[in-house]
Parts: sequence; C-alpha cells; structure tokens
Amino acid sequence: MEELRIYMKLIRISMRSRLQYRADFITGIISVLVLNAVNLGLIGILVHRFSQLHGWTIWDLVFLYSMFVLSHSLYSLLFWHFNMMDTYIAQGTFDQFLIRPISPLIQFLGREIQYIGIGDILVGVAAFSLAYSNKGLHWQAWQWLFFTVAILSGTMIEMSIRWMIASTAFWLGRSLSLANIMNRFNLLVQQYPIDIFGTWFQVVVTVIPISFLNYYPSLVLLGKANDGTWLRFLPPMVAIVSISAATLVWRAGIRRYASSGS
Amino acid sequence: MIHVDNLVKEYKRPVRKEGLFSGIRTLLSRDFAVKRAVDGISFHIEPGELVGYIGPNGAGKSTSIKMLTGILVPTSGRIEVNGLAPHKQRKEYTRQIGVVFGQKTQLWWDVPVIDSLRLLKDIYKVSDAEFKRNMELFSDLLDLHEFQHTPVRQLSLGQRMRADLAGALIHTPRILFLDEPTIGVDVVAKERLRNFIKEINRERKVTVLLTTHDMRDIEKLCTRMMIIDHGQMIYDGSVEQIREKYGRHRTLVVQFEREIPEFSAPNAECLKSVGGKLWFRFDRLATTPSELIAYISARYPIVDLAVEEPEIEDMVRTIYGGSEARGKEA
Repeated sequence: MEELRIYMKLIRISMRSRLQYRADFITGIISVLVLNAVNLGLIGILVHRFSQLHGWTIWDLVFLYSMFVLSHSLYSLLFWHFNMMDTYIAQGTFDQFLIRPISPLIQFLGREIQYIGIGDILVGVAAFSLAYSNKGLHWQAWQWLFFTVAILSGTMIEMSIRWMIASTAFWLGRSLSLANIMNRFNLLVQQYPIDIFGTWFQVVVTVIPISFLNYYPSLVLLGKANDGTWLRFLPPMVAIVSISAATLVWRAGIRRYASSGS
Repeated sequence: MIHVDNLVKEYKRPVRKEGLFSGIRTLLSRDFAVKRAVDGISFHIEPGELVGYIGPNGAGKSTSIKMLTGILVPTSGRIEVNGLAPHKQRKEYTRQIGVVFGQKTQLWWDVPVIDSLRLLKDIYKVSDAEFKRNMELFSDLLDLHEFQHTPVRQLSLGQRMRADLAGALIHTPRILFLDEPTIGVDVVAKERLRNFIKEINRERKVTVLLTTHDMRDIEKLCTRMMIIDHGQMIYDGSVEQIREKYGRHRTLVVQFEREIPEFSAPNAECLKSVGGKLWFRFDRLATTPSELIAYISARYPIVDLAVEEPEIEDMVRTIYGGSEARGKEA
C-alpha cells in the first residue's frame, strides 16, 4: 500500500512533466482513434465481402476486437513504459531505481503513464457497445463479472508478456526486436479469431497467452464454446501464472544487471 | 562501517556471432569473453572517514561504487556496510546511504528541484521536522533556495550538482557515495561543493567515499586515499604518506639577472631553462635548498627564487605509471 501511494505520487510528477508537451498529448490520442477506425474499417470490408469469417459475423468480430482493445487500453495506459526499459538498461540509467527503498518496478512504472491508452479506452467502449446492442445481447450478472475479470486478466497477461520481454534486455541489452514480433502477433489476434489460422499459430498464441485477451473469453461470452464452463476460470489463472513467470525473469535480470561504464 | 573482502566483479559478454541470425546465435552460444573489472579488492572504512577513491579511467572505480551501493551484484567476495549486504537487503540498506553520480542526475528532470526533494521525503519517510532542518542546512551551505523552484533541466551544472547533493542527503544518511561529484564544474563551484562535503563530514559525521579525477578534491578533502588500477588496489593509505613516499623531489626555480647557460649542481639536475630562469630538481634527502642556493648564488647573481612542492597529481601519475609497467609485464 505504501508503495502504491508512492506510485501515485510518482505518476503525478510524471504527469506534471508531460503536461509541458500538450500538443503531443492531443495528437497521440487522435492518432489512436484514427488507427483503430482504419483497423475496424478493414474488418468491415472483409466481412462485407464474405458476410462472415469462419462462423464469425461482423458483430462477433467487433466484439472480439473490443475485448482486445479494452484489455490492451489498460495495459498501454499503465504499463506501456515497459517498452522503454531496454533503453534504461543499455544506458545504465536503470541505476537510479536500485538506490531507493522502493521496489524498482514501482519506480520504473511510476516514470510514465501513456495517455494514448485513453484513446484505446474510448475505442474499446464504443466498439463493445456497438457489438453488444447489434448482437442483441442481454447478459446476466455472471457474464458481466466474467467479462470484467477477463478484461483485467487480459491486461495482466499482456503486462506480464511485455514485462518479460523487457526483462530480456538484462541479458541481450536490447529487447526492441522481440517487442516488435509481439506487436505483429497482437495485431493478428486482435482482429481475427485464431481458429481461422493453422494449428501452429493457435498453439503459439495460446502458449504466449495473448489469445486469452479476447479469443477464449469471446468463446464463452458469445456462446461459441461447446462446454465453456472450464474456460471461465482460465483467464485469471493464466494471468497469475504469467505474472509469476515474469516476476522470476525480472528478479533474475536485476541480479544480472551490468549497468554501464563510469 | 564499510567492510570489503576480496571483492571481484567479472563481466561476461557473449562473443558476438556474425552472419545469419547473429542475434539468436549470440544468445544461444556458450562463448563468453570474461573481463575482470574488479579483481580482489579488500578494505575497511571507519565511521566518519572521508576517503578518496581514485584511479585512471576503466580502473574499476565505478564498478566498485556500484557494488557498494547495491546496484551491481558482486561475482564473488563480500561487502558488508553497517552490518548489511547492499544488494540483498536493498530496502533497509538504501535508507542508510546517499548516492551522487556526477554524470547523471538522480532527480526528476522536468520538475522543480523542490518537487523532487518532496518526493524523496515521501520515499524515505522523512519527518517534517527532519526535512525542515535539512532544507535549512542546504539553504545555508548550498544556497538551495536560489534555484529550488527551477526545473532540473534548466540548472547550471554546478547548481545541478548541489541539488543532487541535497537529494542524496535529504534522509540524513550515514554514508555518502560520491562518484565524480565535481566533474565538469567550474573552479568556484567546485570549491563550494568541497566545502559542503567537508562540512557534512565534520558536523554530521557522515562517512564519505568519493571518486574523482581532480587531485585537488583529494588534497582539500581527504585524509585517506585509495588508488585502484586494473581492478586491483595499488595504494591505500594517508595522503601524507604518498607525499613522503613519492614526493621526495622538490623543484627549485631560480631567476637570474641575465640569460645564462644551463648547468647542474651537485645532487640537482637542471630540468629546463627559459629566459634566465632555471628549474633544478633535487631529492630533499640528498641535499637541502640552502646548500643548493649557496652553490648557485656563488656562481651567478640571483634575482628571485621559489621552491615548488610536487603536485599530488604528478605523484599519482608516477604510481599509475608503475602499475602500468607491472600490468604489461603480467
């Protein structure tokens, strides 16, 4: 709790720094809106041609997309800064997080939150509302609960994957290329149900559990799973396993940290 | 207070592969180049000491400081500071130390200095009374009030260093590690930083370990000096002892009435001659200045003269040189 209080203070400082660059803030959010509109438009064109995609209608796909974007929005708001970690490690500025009596992770994440996440939240809520009303869904309490848990688990899963990728910089010096590969996977999983791809792809995005952000929860919520009961408990469990694994890699990385000359 | 035993830090760098998939192959390969940055250093520092830690670039100073501050994990050997192992008991340990890296600020770049200090107050759970007392001290000795509302990025280097010192001391640590605290700072600002460091060492009994390339920092501040080269300790003792051991030579500078040819005196060699001014280097154990002056004045009329003490910098260069030669033999 103490650490959370410090985290909020760190964020306040970082926000005050960022507000000096207001134009950057606004263009950032607009660019996210445009980017998502283009993505959704492309899906629309695709489905318009074929009317559905492997049993997924246009609103199924918008639903799938919205779940991903909602999870991702919280990740990018709070944890996007992981993408910058390799720079801190390569330049030795990571030093500063190791000389204070607060966990290095909190200090690092407190350096910056990413406003672009706000744009993602807007897109996610809009896309979800459209899909919900157009599919004529009427959820019961458990479905809303599962939906919420799935979104938060998704956030934690993406956070853990990015955290782990960032931590590889302790060994490799840079983690940019791994992060870029991840971006490609993200984009595919975000826009398409993974069952349209070959088995190998499905295995990859289940082992690197990115498909738990939207595909598996959507099977449950859209009634596409034959027996979805066990699937309901999977997202939070996968999240816990991911966080644990990332924590171990991070700790090992800090022991391995080599700083930089002088 | 600080106990270091046989400290070693090795950097293992994978040997880079060439060609296709070089990144992956480098990652998977077992070929490492090992560099010993710190090679078996031991020392003890008592509470209240002010120790200078010097050595040429790449000697292992920063690596040692980073192990002492808990940033790097030693390959082998033992560090115990105040009963704590720096990297293992990080939270407890970092409360007791203050750290300044001259090359990089530890403060928040875009916000006023005072905001950084208030944040550090929260991080270290400094009481209001202690914070106030420390801020008064910083205003008195560092003139912090003059620039505390300025963002760090707009400060001059001297001001930034003062702000960083304030940041490192806001929680009243018992030990202060200063890695090149005077680097790039002008002469006046350097003097003020030195006075401040001396003051908090004397008044607050803060133990200080500082690295520097400026020997005047050492002369002005330290009673003890540790010299490291090639990762090994090549000298650990008083600054005075260094003078006695390596500073036996003095230089007598003599201004004559007119230009005269170079000549040597018994036990003194002439180093150079410029416009009637001659430099004689002598060993103060072999001869005395008065003997030398008597000898010279008997030959030519003297207008002015001075005895030059050896610069500590020259002595240290002699010591570095010696270790360089040893390094090559080995």
